[in-house]
Amino acid sequence: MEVDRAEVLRYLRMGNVQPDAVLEARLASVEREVLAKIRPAAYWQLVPITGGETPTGELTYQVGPLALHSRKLWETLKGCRHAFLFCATLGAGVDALLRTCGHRSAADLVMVQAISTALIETYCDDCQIQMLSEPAVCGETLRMRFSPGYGDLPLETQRPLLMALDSARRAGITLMDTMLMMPSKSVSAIIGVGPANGQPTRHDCRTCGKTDCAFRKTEEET
Amino acid sequence: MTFDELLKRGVAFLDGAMGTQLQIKGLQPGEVPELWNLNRPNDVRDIHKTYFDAGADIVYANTFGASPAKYHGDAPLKDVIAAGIGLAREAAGGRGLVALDMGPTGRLLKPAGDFAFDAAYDSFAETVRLGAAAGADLVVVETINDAYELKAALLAAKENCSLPILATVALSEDGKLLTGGDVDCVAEIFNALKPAAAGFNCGLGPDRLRPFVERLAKLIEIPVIVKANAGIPRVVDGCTHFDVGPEAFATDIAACVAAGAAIVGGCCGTTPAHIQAVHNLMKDQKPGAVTRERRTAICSYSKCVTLPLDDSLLIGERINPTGKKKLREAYKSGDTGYILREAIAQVDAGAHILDVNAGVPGIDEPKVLQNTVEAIQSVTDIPLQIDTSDPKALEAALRHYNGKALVNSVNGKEEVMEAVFPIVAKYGGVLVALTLDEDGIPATAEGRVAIAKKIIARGAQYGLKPDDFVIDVLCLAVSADATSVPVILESLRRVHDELGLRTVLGVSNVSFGLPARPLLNATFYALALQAGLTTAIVNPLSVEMMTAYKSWRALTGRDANCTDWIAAVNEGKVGGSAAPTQPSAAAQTPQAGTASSQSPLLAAIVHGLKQDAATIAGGLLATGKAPVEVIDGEIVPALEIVGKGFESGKVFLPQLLMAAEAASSAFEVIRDVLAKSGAQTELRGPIIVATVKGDIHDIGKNIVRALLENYGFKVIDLGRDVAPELIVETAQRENCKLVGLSALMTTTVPFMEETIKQLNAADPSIKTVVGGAVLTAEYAAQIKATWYAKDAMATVRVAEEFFK
Repeated sequence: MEVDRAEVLRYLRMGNVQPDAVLEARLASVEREVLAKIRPAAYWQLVPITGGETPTGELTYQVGPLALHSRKLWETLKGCRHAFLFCATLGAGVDALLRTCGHRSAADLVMVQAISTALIETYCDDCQIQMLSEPAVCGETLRMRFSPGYGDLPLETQRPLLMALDSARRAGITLMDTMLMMPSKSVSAIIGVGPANGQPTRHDCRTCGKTDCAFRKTEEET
Repeated sequence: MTFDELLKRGVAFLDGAMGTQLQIKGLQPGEVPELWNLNRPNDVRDIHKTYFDAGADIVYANTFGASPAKYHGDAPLKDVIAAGIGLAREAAGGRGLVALDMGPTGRLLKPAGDFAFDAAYDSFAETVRLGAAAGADLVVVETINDAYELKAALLAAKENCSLPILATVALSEDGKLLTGGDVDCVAEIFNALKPAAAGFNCGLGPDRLRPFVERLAKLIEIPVIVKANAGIPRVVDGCTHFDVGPEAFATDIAACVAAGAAIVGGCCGTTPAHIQAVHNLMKDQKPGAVTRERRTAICSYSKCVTLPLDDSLLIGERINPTGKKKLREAYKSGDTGYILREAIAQVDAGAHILDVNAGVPGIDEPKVLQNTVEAIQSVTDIPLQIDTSDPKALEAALRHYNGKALVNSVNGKEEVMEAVFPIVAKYGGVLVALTLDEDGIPATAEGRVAIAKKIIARGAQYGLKPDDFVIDVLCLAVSADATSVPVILESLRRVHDELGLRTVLGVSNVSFGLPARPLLNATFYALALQAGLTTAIVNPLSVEMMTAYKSWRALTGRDANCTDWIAAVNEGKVGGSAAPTQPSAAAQTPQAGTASSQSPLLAAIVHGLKQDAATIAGGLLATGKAPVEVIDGEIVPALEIVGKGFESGKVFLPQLLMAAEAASSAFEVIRDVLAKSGAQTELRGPIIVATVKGDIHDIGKNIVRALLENYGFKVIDLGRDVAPELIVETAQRENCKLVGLSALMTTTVPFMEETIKQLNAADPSIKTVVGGAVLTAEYAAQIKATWYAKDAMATVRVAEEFFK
């Protein structure tokens, strides 16, 4: 996998500032270390979408086994009859490296954090390319990855989502009491499958409601 | 028929997938499969019956997820398990054996996750007790993908029933567990905890598992199990498919049997037809003959280290408080951070194993040793040597050690053997045997060899084999007895050549009481290596010792093409080629926001050049510059430049941290020089830092700690998930007036508030500074924190103000 350097710099909150030679050398060496530790794994399942808005204006729908009410997610699923339940991880090795760096070098620690965050997103994008080639997708598009905890989709959706995927067995992803996943560089999501209709196919900072996000892309970055 | 009788007959047959069959009968995603034992008993019984009909000797009851940690059905667990065992028993109709099936808890154990080892143990133990009470014939631990969870499950099974235990792990496509352990590593955990049979299930198809079966069969003495998937799952049109049909599956299983598998069956995607095909093909067959590999090996959760007979390995000695004041203080104050840095530095220097000793008078050694072992395993993956003379501490540490450890030590005293052997027999491990007994240390090689033989013979009564020992012929100071070294060398030679066993020595003892110890140690080390020293407890940060070790390996043909030697020379790790004395070119080039007229040290720090900063600082002191001038004139201004740069958005976090690390390396050089001249440099502090109870996210806290330390503060790092009581107790004991608390999760902020409350109640003069993703200045005020710090630099500013 290639490390998306622009994303790494964004997570380091450096924006468009290019690293100097010293930082560049350190980044390159930490990148090699991270790439040696990752063991990516992913699993996904195509499920039908049923239900919708009731005459009384209540929103209740099923995505496979998940009973949901999130309006933001529903917007991304417009026109979709199916969705992928999805999970992916870089594996436990990155967390071990984060723990080591926590006592070796804080500079390395923030770099591992930024690099691995960029890598899991790249890996999810790679998985989506594979998902597009599945026969059932049949020329349709994938909507943006929508994860529990984003917008009005409760974080608690993690549990039924990961259970439906049997994520611990299929990808080694487990859930902690805090509803965060372990390994920490993991993604779970619901991804609508439907005809191209102008709906965003990936996350776009410009349309995101969380305006105080530290990692929100500036106009130049997007 | 008992399990033993079954194995004597030949290849034994397990059932195939349960989940797959339940899904065919209508189990929905997200439904609790075990509830079918009560709600759909006929369906469950039928599935078991079809497997017995197909030729299975053992079926797994429908209890895979029936553990308190995982089960969330509305019927009592006891009923679900009893019904599950009962249904399998009814289906057997006297034909075979019924196993209690235990899958993983679905939780990742600490330190990787948030589930405590003891909690995982308790969960498995409850299931084992319920299954045994329900009349299971066997206990199965399966689909485990983490070495630590495997250990918890096996201990729980062994300690809570007397049934035979079968254990299988799930490998990923690269042949490793989720947490990184390969087959060699898994084999040593099986060897340590000794189930009745062990192997693999799930994950892969039998063709892909065959090489792993072949390897495992060579490494363990118990029967090998393979319960493979019908290939790797593929999702097509939203449905999970397994591609390998019954006949192909049976052929691949037959290859596994030829490679040594004795117990075979199917996992995901397999059906009664698969088991029938396997049974037809392998009925009345015997497992293929296997030549076992003779070896002595230890492991961590992910790394297996084979102790060589014809080479030598390094055991890092630095986590032993004997004669180390800083380490003793770290143990006493609970400053785990110091110990972890010692661990990481030794690993980076090339140690293969780390010795861990917590023998400090006045501390609770069992608790501290266990905690230290757990903490070190959270930051390094090399195996540990657990070093204690307290059997209680040994048991606590060995029980919680993630893997199979080296144990230091037993000796020839009857009382010691009686205390240590049962612990090592129970938890597994390789044991260091000291050649001394009630009569002391023999003066001759004969005497030491005789004690080694005695210890090994006595160990055999506990099931320990000669290969489970490493012999320490004991290193005595040459200053006390001029003849000690020839006896040591002769003892090494005889143990190694005549007994064919591995040896170990604490090398540096030899020079005790003499000047220029490193040189004596290194020379003796080379002699000992040539006499047959196969593991040495040494300081891997000592250039002299590494030079002796690496040159011996290069000179005796153990370092092919001298590759390792050349690499060590280039890295400055061996003698005569210490770190570069000239700062690199980058230190000379100015960076945005800094002036080109800066001094080299200031520039090196600002640029984050750690090695250069140390070299230049050393050079300045050597040319007669006063330490205080270097600190006040160069280091402090450099830190000020980057600190201000960070605050104004011109310098970014990684650069701030690199600069701080460079400053710290310059400080270190100055401190060493001052210490040698007898002067003391006072660090400001202490400051306690901790991530509050319930929160295991410590990245932010670690950044703050590092930056504080780099800015010259003494920090006591209590780690993550820290109880308020421990923080209060430490603050009072260490007379610490500034406490930094971190929290990532909204849910853990109440613990932050509670900690502040308890600190205020205990001592109102203690101030708190808080930070973390969910905190804001308002939130901090609301929970009555003294200060809010928006980032690591802000915490440094608070500390600077506080200690002004």
